[in-house]
Amino acid sequence: MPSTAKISPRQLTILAAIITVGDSILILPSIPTYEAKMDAWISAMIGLAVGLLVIQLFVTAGKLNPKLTLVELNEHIFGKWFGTTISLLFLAYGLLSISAHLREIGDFSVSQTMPDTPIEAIHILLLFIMILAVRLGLETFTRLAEIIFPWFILFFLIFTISLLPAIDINKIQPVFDNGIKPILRGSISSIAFPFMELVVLMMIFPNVNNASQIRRSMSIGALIGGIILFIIITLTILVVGAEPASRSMYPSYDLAKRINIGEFFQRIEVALALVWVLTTYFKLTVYLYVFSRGLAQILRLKDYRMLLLPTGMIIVVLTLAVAPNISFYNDYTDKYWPFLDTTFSVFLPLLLLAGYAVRKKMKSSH
Amino acid sequence: MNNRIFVSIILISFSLLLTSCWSRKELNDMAIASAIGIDKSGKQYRVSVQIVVPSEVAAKQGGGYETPITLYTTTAKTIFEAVRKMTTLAPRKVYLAQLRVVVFGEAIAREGIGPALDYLARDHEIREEDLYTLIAKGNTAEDTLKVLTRLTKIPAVKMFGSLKTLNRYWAPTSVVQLSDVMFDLITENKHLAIAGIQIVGVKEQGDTKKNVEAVDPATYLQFADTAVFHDDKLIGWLNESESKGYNYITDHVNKTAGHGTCPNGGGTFAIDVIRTKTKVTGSIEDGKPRIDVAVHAEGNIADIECDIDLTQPKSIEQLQKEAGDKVSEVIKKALNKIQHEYKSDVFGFGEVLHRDTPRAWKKIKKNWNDIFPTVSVNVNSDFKIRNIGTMGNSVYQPSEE
Repeated sequence: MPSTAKISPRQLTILAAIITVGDSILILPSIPTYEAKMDAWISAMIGLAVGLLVIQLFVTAGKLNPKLTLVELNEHIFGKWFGTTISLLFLAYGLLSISAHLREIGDFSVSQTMPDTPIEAIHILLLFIMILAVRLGLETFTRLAEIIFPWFILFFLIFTISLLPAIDINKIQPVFDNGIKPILRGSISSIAFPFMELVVLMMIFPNVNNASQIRRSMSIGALIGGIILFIIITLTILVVGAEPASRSMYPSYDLAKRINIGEFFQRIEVALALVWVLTTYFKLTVYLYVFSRGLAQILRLKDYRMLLLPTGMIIVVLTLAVAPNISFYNDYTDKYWPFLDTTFSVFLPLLLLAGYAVRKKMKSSH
Repeated sequence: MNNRIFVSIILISFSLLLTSCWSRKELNDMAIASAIGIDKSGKQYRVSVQIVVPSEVAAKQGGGYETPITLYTTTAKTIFEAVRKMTTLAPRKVYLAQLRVVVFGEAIAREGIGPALDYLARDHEIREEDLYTLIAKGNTAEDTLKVLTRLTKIPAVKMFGSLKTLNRYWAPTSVVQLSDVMFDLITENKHLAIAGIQIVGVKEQGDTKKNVEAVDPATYLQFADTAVFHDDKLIGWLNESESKGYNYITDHVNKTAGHGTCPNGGGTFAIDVIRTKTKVTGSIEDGKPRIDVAVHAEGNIADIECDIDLTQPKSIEQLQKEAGDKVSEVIKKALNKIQHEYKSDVFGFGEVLHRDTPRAWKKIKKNWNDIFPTVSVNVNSDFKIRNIGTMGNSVYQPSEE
């Protein structure tokens, strides 16, 4: 089923930027600050550099045949059985990611603002609008992203500027206090969560109306998102301090609480949290679109829309099943999730490139 | 027709989404807390919460004066339970998001405030970023929160307000937010210093409305001194001038007032210090850590009570030097007391050495508590006088005898 939806390279850039920021803006800062303490900003910088390289890798893999989605590409290169197996694994990863990211939003809302609300209620409400968006199609929610992106940037600028008076430069010194090892440990999640998870966009590469621009769009988008995350992490250290940030569940929320200009412009953290929920929402929507469309392609369905409601029901249960409590959740996202991301954003493209090379050789030897 | 039914069902179902969330709190179901006081009673916490009485705070005509606040006090094994237990006293649920100050009784401060901080940091309603921390000097937090105040009806708001003005114009105590307390506590080798508050007058009378009916209330609250901690335990107090010295070193002086002796014997002059900047640097000298404190201050002459010719630039220079020496003296007194009596690094000199000499710091880190009293501190203050007020020479010229 060839999808007729078309998005422009500019829209891809915005999608990439929003997904890079995604949920990372909320949960990422505590991980590098826990590992690298006040050197976490270096981790973020390494994360950005390596992250951009990873993106080049899977864009190269996607360009092997820019007319095919990742699922079709798998089948094209590895054949029906092996290709489908890989695709199913990829989709399982996608489904797990949706559940995990949705759970993040749920946990955040429940622990910071609405302690008496059942977490399922938040999940179901968000899922409802996710399904709504995906039903309307790729073009529609990409346009929505295009409309919302300037507002997101505006909020981010207000956020950054209002925090400037609270900066304490002493909190970031000395640099390289504990050597390079903790910095590298801290950079693992800074590479994985924002950048590697962009791999799902391989499913919509064929929808970009100018395939030659994909590499540029992806790189610029990831760069914008990466810079935003770098600023957030650096501000966290400069304002909250590395030690408190590493203990905090949501350091960027603590950061927003520090905004206080003249006892007047203050207590705006909930408004800012709403913006972060919005970026996560876009990430989730793209994931849901990718999952349902990928599954439809495997099952040779004409339309992916019929899969949305059942998928949503599975997700409602899965969000609760991914982790029994928040400590378990944080433990497994910190320790194991980056490797899950690596599997699909580094090893899968490498496998595709290798498979392609082997096929080419076999063809030419015939 | 079918379509119309479908649309109406959808529209009606939308109204279900308008019921807002489970966690909604109606304003008239909340008891808004303005201050929380924490004491120990035996092995249990004794928690007092100052609740605003809305009808008394709102502007109104006539009516008798009733107390604008009420105090609920409960005792329980944990602070959280104590706060919840307040439902047995209060008709509404205590709402903590508008807290202005947290007061620790001196007794619990001497035992250690660390364990009590966790609840304050963990609870989602409490915003530790704008919650001032105080220690009730020689008293319990409960009694401190009972005292009614004038000018500002809610005592917690009065404390919050005076702390801010205090911080801006006088700098005699250490004004800290709860988040700063937590930051200092988890920063290795930096100890806490927190502002003290004391009840002046007859303690028993402070909680009646009679107290605030007088022009000069018999009982009032005053900020006094700074509590010095070692880890989370209070070990002693700095008096007003030592607190100022402490604030100079930690660069917390915005504006203050100071005085000095006139150069040609006798008489005093006062200076309105308008801005100060302190730079603390660390270095290693002959294998020993050394701290340099450089204060740059600017001020105007506020008061001259001696015979000096202010029209001469030279006399300004003399006064500048005198003012600078005075600042150094204040700082040295504070240093002396803290280094030799309390032996607790409340200045964060350890962190300064950590920043400036990271390698050497690794060696001395372990014994820092023993090294701190022996560190040589070099104080250097540079004072600039800019203006002399609205007149030249003083009207008062002491006659020569």
